[in-house]
Amino acid sequence: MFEHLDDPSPSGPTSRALRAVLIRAARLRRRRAVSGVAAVGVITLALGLVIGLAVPRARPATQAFTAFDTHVGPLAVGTAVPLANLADVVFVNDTHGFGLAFHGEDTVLVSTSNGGESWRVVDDAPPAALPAQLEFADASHGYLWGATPSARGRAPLWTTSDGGHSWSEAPVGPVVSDVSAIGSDVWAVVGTCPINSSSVAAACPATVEQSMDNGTTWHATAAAPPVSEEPGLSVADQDLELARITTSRAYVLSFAAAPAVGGASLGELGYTADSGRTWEARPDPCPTYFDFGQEIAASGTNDLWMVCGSQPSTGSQAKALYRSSDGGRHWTLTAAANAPALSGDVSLSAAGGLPTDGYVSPLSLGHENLAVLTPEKAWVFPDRSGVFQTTDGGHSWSPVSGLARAGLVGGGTGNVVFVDVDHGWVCEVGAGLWRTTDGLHWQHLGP
Amino acid sequence: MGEAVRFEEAFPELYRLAYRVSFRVLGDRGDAEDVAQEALARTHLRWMRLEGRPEGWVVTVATNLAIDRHRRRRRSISLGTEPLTLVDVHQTERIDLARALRRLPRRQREVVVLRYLADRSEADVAEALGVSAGSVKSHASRGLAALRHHLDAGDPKGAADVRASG
Repeated sequence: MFEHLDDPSPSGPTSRALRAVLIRAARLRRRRAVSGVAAVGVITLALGLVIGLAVPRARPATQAFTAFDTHVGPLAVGTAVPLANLADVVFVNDTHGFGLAFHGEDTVLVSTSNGGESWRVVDDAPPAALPAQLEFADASHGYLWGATPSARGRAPLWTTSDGGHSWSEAPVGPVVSDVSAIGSDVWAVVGTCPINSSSVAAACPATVEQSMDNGTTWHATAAAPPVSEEPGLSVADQDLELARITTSRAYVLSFAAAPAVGGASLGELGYTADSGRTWEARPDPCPTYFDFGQEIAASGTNDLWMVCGSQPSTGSQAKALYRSSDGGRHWTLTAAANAPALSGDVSLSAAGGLPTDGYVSPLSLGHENLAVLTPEKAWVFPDRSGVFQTTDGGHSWSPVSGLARAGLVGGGTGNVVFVDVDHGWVCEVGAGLWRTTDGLHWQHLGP
Repeated sequence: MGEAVRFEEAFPELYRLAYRVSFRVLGDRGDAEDVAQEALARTHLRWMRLEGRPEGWVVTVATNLAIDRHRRRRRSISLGTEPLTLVDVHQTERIDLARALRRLPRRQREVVVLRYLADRSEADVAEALGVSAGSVKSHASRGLAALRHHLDAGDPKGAADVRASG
């Protein structure tokens, strides 16, 4: 009856699509733990839009990972891992990095010692599975958090001091939302209510916990940041983000999916310059039109970048970039895309502006859609889009040659990460890993 | 589909099913892929509870998501935030179809969607929904009549297509 409405050339399901579905399912599972006290339908529908994963059209993943995936049973330490299985990567320098990869429906911790060219299994059963996040301060000390909460509503932080071979649960919690390590100095944003607790229905404060010994012992900062957790969501859903500038200076951003009554924005921003002894509230520049998420990044103490994202649709999303040169006291609209709420303030969707394609959201793995290297140079990798670069402080953006149609447009759980202005990586589940060693040219390291 | 079938094994067939019904409503590959993945993710969460009959669940969820997406997209277009895309010659029909499906009672919608949007046989629909073949026939007949009525009210051309092929 409706055959004439069919797609004349539908793309078939691929391994990449399956992985996208599994990541999405993991996020849904986590969200549903929260939604015992919230509107399940609204949240999950929003989540479906946020993640925005799709089947590749131009470059389906190869079968390279078939043998790896079909291996049944434990994987030995040192087993080679196809790059197409990588879901998230972090690097401690230009050669040594760690990642989370799929093995079937399971998550494995992997590492590289040659800049990402090859990866091997470190732990085939880490204590937190995707969509967990990871960070390593050096080749030994690492942190893993953000997995699906336990039945008791806990989302703990796990630490390792042997390069990921063994893990210990850190004495912080119950819900760890974000972690940042500068050497042995580690901070964690922690939700104080288990996410399946009825107490989440009321405001549940977040705290910042600090460790000076690689995550072994922890204490709360003298004062709590002036941010509040949105009742319907949990910190485990990454509505809280920590951006550390130095060992003493940091920002905490919270984002609520629903506008506060009479509120001018959906986010709250707190800043400390004294390791959390005191916090100052800073204005959130994103208008309520951008009601889907925002992301903060910094190149230095006072140079802040804030990307705001609206409800996405059909692979595109209105976006705005605000910048502050005084540590978030004042913000300037720098670029926008497809944002009628800003009409009159800036030229919308102008050539060279922020890309309308793809989704910027706080729910991307690792919050790393945006990488700011200097006050002039930054990269943005919206989900379901290519990678874009600016060299003029965010006023104009251009697609990165070789990455604009590099198989990224169909998916989008990956990150863009840099360890310095020259060395960066773009990771996309199912598509593989790209690397730059000069901050300009990108090399596909393989699927 | 047996109860012992793993999600990964069933994935290709279910994905094609979800994509087809989503595309018929939305007419956009990106949106249809998004909806298919969301429907399959939700299916994954319920896999053990679907008792080896996931098709009905997948089609129903995908259709509902597609209708929601369609509604949201219309709002977006009215706000002027939608980028220009290729012209879909069936767009009007898809709009009317989404509206008409939205108006059907739940069971009628499930049967109509499985029977006519997912092209399942009456026996398959009965198995998927756990009802008798007679019940499927009854709901399909009433649902189709209601669909025609709603399409008549919206777009005579779409209704003519239903009459011609239904």
